[in-house]
Amino acid sequence: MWTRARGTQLVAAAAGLAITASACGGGGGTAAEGAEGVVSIGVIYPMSGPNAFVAEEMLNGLQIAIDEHNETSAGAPEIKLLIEDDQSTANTGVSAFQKLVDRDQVSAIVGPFNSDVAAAVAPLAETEGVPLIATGATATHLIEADRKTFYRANSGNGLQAVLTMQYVTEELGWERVGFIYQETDWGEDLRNISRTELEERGGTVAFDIAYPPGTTNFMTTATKIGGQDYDGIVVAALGGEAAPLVRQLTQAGVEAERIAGYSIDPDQMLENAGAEAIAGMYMSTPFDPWNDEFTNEVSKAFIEEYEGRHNSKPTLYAAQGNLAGKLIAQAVTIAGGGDRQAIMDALDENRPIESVYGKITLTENQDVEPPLLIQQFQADGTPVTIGRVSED
Amino acid sequence: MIELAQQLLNGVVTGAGFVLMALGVTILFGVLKVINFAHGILYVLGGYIAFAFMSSAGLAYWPSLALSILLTGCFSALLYPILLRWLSGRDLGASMILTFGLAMIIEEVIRFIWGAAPYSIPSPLTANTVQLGPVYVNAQLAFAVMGSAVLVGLLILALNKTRLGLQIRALAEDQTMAEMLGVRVGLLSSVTWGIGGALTGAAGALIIPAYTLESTSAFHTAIMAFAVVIVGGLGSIWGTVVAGLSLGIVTALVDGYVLSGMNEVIAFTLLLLILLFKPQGLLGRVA
Repeated sequence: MWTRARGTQLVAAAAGLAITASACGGGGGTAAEGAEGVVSIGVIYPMSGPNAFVAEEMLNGLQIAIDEHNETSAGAPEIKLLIEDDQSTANTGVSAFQKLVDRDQVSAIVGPFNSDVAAAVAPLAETEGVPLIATGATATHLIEADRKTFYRANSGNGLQAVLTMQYVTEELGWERVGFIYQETDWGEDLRNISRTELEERGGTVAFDIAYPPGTTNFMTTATKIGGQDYDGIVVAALGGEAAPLVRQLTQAGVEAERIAGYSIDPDQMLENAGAEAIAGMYMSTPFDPWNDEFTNEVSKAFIEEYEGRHNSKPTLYAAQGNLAGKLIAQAVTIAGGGDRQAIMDALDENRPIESVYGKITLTENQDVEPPLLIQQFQADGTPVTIGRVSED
Repeated sequence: MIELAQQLLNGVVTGAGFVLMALGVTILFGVLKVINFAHGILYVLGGYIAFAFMSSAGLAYWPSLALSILLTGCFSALLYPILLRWLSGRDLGASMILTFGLAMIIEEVIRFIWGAAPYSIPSPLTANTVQLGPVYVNAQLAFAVMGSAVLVGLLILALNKTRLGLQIRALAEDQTMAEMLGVRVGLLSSVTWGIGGALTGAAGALIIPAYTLESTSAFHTAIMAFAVVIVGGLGSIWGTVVAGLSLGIVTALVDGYVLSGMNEVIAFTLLLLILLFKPQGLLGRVA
């Protein structure tokens, strides 16, 4: 017999079931053709979930590089991408990896994006001898593990955090800095390195606030900050979180000139937070598709192709995906096929590659370290590069 | 003291948002004893419909809001004859599973049409904030609070003062008896689904301009709405109001003075306590 109490218990059970189901869903890749001369490359990106937009961008950039390879590299093996969705969760990432390696027998994998997913997948790739070219996955510990199969088409958090803190302390004169960061491997790692760098430079931490991924209501955070004494706020926020965060901070009276963000997508910031909220805010990024001064022939061609296909400028994520595609395409060409060890040997040859960041080679950590650009949003919301920092 | 007042106000505003999000679940359960797991995605759909009319058709916010409420309501009403009437007489689990699957399908369709990028719905209000002495409130959310109060008032009025409301209450009390007395159960069930959908669509179009529009936010919305409904008492409108506001205030105070980002933890802790000590909810009736 139906009772409200029984109904309540059933609903609670279903809510639990829903949470579990959302964490356990699977992706939808297709089988490799297995045709002669075709190399299957797996892709593990968060095609659904909170980072789906990022994945879409990375895949768009990656696809351009692979299409370019397939159309122009006569004699080189054709590359076919097999895409799996990790939903930004480690368990699903592991399932995706197993599908690609056991069922599809891929030669290499591009991805994952999330550091915690990469942390779950990278040891398996090492055991199976599958080269993994992560895009994103910026957590420092991924490189510190010193795995032969782990490569990365971008710099780690370390470089970005150190160079950004160098800029805000030296150029902007910030001494008391507050941190607001996404409560993930990525956000915590950025916060930790930034904090250490700040303290080594004689600065102090004004406040330290974490938020769960997917948060859009930052009203209490904005109120809390109102009573604090700080010179600037460094924000590590992704996707749809960054715009409401900055908008609510400025509504609470925080000046945008006192906010700096890591790799925030400027188009999205302008569209979703509005020029008034972001004017004056700083951000650090290695990729600037807006200013000719910071583009080369490769990036110009990439931007043009991207705009033709998607009617918008590519984001940093698209640039990262494109570089990952160029790295794997070059390695497959050198290897002359899909042998995993041969592909790793080709990557390890470390030949220079013409990329959206200019001519670039892999570092000894098997990632890339393009110079970091510091941008500031103008009154109309457009980002202008005002500084360039590098380890040199 | 000002900070405390501001955090309390943040809590009330957030809580009113929870109430608005949960009204659709309350009405559907209260009348039809159906658990709608597609609720979160209907909330998001309301936002996307308003966004589509504003960005593609160039309509202003107000007509887009009206169209969003109307279309989400119609879509929800059609779900009953097409899908949900087949569940009549089945246990609660069937409606949960069906609507959960439906939510995933709608989310994929939304992503197919609009992509995964977050969007914003421009607020029609010229001011960003409303100053109330030393404290302030986001203007769009203040408007959503008023909208929430109006919708609660209209719902209670409609249920208690109209013929349709009388029939809906009869359906809620005893479906067989209502049918014997001439109530067209199928049509009325469809209307109830429509009302639930319209309320949810209204919530989306009212609240989302203050944040960002993303298909992925449906899950969190659904979870918070269910927590509010369970804590308040399944099917109780006043219970939903009390639970929504309480949850908003408690989360704001914990967020502001104890630990950030604990919304869902607090919601589920309250839910657990309610299940243990008052399973019918704060204002729910014992069957």
